[in-house]
Amino acid sequence: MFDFVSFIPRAIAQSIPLLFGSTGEIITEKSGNLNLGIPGVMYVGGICGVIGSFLYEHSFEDPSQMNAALGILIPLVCCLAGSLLMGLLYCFLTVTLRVNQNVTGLAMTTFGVGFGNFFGGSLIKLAGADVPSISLSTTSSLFRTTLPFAGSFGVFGQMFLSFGFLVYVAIVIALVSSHVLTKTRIGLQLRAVGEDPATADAAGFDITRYKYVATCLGCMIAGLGGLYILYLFICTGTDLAIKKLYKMLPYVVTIVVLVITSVRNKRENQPPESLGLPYFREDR
Amino acid sequence: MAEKQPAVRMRHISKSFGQVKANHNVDLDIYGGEILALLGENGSGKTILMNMLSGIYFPDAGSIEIQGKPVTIASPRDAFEHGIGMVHQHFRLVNVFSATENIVLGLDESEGFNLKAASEKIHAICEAYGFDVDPNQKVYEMSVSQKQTVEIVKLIYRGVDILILDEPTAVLTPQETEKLFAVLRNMRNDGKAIVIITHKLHEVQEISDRVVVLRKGENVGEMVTAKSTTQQMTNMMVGHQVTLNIERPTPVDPVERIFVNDLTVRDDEGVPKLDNVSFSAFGGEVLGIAGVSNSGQRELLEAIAGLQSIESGSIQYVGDDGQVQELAGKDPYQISSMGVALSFVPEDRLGMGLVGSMSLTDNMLLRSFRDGKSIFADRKAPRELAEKVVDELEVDTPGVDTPVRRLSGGNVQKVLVGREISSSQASFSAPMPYAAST
Repeated sequence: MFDFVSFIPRAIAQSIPLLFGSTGEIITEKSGNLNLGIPGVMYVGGICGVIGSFLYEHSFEDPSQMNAALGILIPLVCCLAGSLLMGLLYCFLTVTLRVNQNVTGLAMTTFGVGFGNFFGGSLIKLAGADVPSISLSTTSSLFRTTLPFAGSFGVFGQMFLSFGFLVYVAIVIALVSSHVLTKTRIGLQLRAVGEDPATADAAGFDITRYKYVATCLGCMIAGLGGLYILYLFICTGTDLAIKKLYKMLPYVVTIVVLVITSVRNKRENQPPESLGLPYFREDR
Repeated sequence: MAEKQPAVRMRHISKSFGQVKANHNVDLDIYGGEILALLGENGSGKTILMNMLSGIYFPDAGSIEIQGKPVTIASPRDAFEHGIGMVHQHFRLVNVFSATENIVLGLDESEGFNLKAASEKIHAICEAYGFDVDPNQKVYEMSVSQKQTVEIVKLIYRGVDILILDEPTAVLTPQETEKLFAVLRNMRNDGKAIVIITHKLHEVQEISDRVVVLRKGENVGEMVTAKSTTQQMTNMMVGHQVTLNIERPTPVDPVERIFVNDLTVRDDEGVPKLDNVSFSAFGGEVLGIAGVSNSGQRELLEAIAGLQSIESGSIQYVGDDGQVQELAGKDPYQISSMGVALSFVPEDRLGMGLVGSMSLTDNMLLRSFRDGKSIFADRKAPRELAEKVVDELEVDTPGVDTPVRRLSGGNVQKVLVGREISSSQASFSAPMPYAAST
């Protein structure tokens, strides 16, 4: 009744945008910026990637003549550039101008959603399709290219090796960021900036630079999540009862994780102390 | 000493915050192998002057020379490069990091990142100077004196030559102070220049070689410690003749105001904080409560003010008409609506006493907003009160609409005390009022 072999790959596929988004947000928050604009950033990143690949794919009469490397690189670069701009906007407002971070983040979410819908609609118009959708089948299939030997590992291959490359990129980025944050000097310094900017400042770090770099990097990672959703989101087709159960799972897991961390109650697991607070050296 | 090259030469330094002139045209020389005491009242600009040397603030005007070379110190990193390190009154330590992580924070990136080697080096420094620090302990698990030690070790680890300590003894017990002074003397004998910011005269006498006095942001003079008396220092600090021999007149017909009987208080974990405490306080006298910090002074005063739940015992208040009222088990609002004129100045001034981001007027309003019939708060009376407090207690502020948080520690204290005195004359309790300092 419960099909594990098809459940696991779908669960992984669905969780990847969240993994991108949360990795990005963790890096951002460790610098003391609370970026509530991540959904907006993901929208903008995703739509920028789509615009890039749309223009590229539609410059060919026959999309199958496309260069595979460019077909992947162009959307990636566009996506990263779009989300970088959003990150820079957020940093300029909150770090340089010291605007309230909550308001900025929420405004960016609204802006990003509107931006995505507007350009998505324009692209549909441009494509002139009968159904309101854009077909980017070639680019999409490039993003779905799986490892060639995935099939030869049987059930294991089906469960863990049957994904497009972005899935592995997400996992690698998450592991690398975790290592960098906890084990390296740069991670230590970044955490110091988020915990206690006055201390980090007294230790001689450029707070502004750390916040800008961490936040922009976080936004770019989150933007990849947006791109991933647009190309690879697979709508599951199981029966309704199980689907509801699936939908419930993330919330249950979140609650379980929160309960466990609060029971352990270690100071190290709390959010950075000065999260969401602007830093001004001469303030008193 | 005149022909000796000063380690730091500050000339014509000025700095203002808005309308307030924090430092005006200050000249200061700091020599290696010497402990310099920077003396001054609260708000006289000692900390701000040193913050400019350590790169936290940037001077509006003036020049700084280090070892004879003019330098610009725009950031704490610049200060480190010139060998200047400062231990701030509020420690600059990241709570969730270990001692080692805090110490290596901000060191040159070109060295490899090796916490193990660093903690061994820290251990060696601790052995050499006699510090007591566990390099792997988290800062939030440390006592205040341990945190301060970590700060000093941090500076030694970086090899600073000019060490500035802002009110280092404010949080230490006498024994810890002794230990700190011994370490400072060791460091002076190593040829380091040490500046301690303080307003405690006996410490100046005990540790410093030379004293520079600041008053209202200006350098009003300097002297060699060995050749001067505390009387001279006080006069220079305050600006006029002060009698140190305080007259202690006998209280004029003291009346019993508060009886505390067998008061027992336990904290949240059930640890007894007060165990059967009994005393009485009289009107017309000042009652001092002595003890090392955390001996229960805070709990005692909070219990009287109605902020602490008590396990057993009674607190009785005698009014002007001789009527006895029981205060135990009442909250502060009930106490004041009983007509008991009692006020409490908490040690955590901006946490419990005043709202930092609200203006002086609004903070005065906190006491009186319940009065009056209209649905609108009466702002006129609090405003007048704020002006009166500023005037009578000489609060150094640009105006009564300035957020309290922008004032210096001593001035914040004055605002709080001013408000509390105005609302009651009968009894008045303040734990650690001297915790105020800038």
